[in-house]
Amino acid sequence: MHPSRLADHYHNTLRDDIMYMTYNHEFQTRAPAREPNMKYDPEDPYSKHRRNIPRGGIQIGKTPSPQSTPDNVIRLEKIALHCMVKEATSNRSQLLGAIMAFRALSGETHQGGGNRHRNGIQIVKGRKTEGGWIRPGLPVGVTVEMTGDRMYEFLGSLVNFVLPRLREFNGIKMPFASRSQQTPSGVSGVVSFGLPPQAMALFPQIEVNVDSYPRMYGFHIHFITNAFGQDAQARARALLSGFQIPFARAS
Amino acid sequence: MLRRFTVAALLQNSRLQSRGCTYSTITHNLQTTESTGKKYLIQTAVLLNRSPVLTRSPTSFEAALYQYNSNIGRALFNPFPYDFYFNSGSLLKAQFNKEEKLREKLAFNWAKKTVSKRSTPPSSKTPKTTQYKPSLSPATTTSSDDDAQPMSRTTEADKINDVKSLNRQGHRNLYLLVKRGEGEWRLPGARGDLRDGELLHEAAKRELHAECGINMDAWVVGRHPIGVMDAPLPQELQSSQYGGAKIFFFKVHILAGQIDPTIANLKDFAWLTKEEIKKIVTLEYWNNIHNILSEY
Repeated sequence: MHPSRLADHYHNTLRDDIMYMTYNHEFQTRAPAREPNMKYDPEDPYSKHRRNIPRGGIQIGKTPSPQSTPDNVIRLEKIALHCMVKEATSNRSQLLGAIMAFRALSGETHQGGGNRHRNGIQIVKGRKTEGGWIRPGLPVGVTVEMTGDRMYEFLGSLVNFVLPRLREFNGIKMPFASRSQQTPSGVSGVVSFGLPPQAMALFPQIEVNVDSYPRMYGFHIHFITNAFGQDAQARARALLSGFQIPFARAS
Repeated sequence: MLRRFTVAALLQNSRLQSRGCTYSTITHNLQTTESTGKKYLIQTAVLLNRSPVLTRSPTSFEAALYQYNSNIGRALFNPFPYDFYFNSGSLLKAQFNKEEKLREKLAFNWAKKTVSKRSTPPSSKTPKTTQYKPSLSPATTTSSDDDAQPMSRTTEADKINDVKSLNRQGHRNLYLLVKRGEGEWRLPGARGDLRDGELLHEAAKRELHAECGINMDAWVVGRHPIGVMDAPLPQELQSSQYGGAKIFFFKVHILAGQIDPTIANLKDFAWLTKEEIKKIVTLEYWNNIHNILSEY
């Protein structure tokens, strides 16, 4: 165990820069938001206990971003990896290779090292019946969440070993400039992208014994930040740029 | 520079850009304050920052804590999945077990130092025979890494305390201070007025290169100033309609290069940490700038 290089970089340099770059100056304190008109009358005994939402819908895409304060500066909370193994629909032992690969990539095990908050590798099960290939409760994917120093270690190995050696990778795809960002993903503060199976073999944790794994798996990486509201995803991209992750416009 | 390109691409059409433009425009329009009715001369100065290039060396307490946590993790780790990686009874598995024992020995070596001479550890009671002594296999330690020694964390500039060098204090944030003619130590910039239609951050970069030369790769952080200071008017504008001057500070990173010492009017310059700046600037100036300097 040693001091985390990227965590130090965030606290020494990146946090200040991101605060300056994402600062929105507000001249006055905000007026309180108008109470929305709800769809059903909460007093009416017929509709009292119904799920009541605003008349125009939840409008999550229009959530305003919180006021810029020093406590509110965007930071990376966790990195989540997710892999779906289609072959596991018929044979659940196919998941084992993906579980072991994620275990090597993340270093996470269930309550490993005495840390009771770490859940380790989670199995993803189907939620609903679709297309004849999935049904509720069918284990079909693998996921893991990393926080703290382990998260920064993974980020470091991704940026230094994997992304430079990927073929035809110019950067994480950004949405078109004209596309509206008032969407659930636009206000989420989460940046996601996928890696092909060839990328898994480039991680040093796996590269050292690639032959031990039955096959390589493509997977998604989700960078989860504490930002939410308008421009949250743009701010998350600015943060990740500071960790040397490239972004490119979708062509 | 990769970082500059990606940020530029990000900001090309985003609301962050338009917000920056609006802010600068509003600053121009607010030159006249309502209370005094006087105009203020707007100037830009630059906080030129060399970020840390080395991680901070852990203190003895931190090192002990990291070692302790590492050992706890080792003591409480979940069982290793032997069945996935090795066939039962294979030679590779036996070799792995021997190497793992060696790693444990290395990891918990600190505990053995506290053992008193009277209570001898059980391993010393085993008969000394010629046994196979495992060493960590080439896969785990690369010999090329052992041969290459890392550079010293203290450089020549540290030893002689060369304040003009950018290689000093690798683990700290360094800031540029300049001295003009008979003036005091100040941050560079704040020598002129904005040009017509020029944005604040553009003015900051232009003034920086005018004062310190073009032999450096400088990147302005965003379009927002990070601090403001009231300053006296320059001599030639004393009797004009301006009631005073306001200096807006911009954070700029130096990515490569060095100050050009041959520039006219530049008497002296120094790359200093926050505590060193406190010692050489005036108290009034320090009160204005100390909040924008980093302790790290």
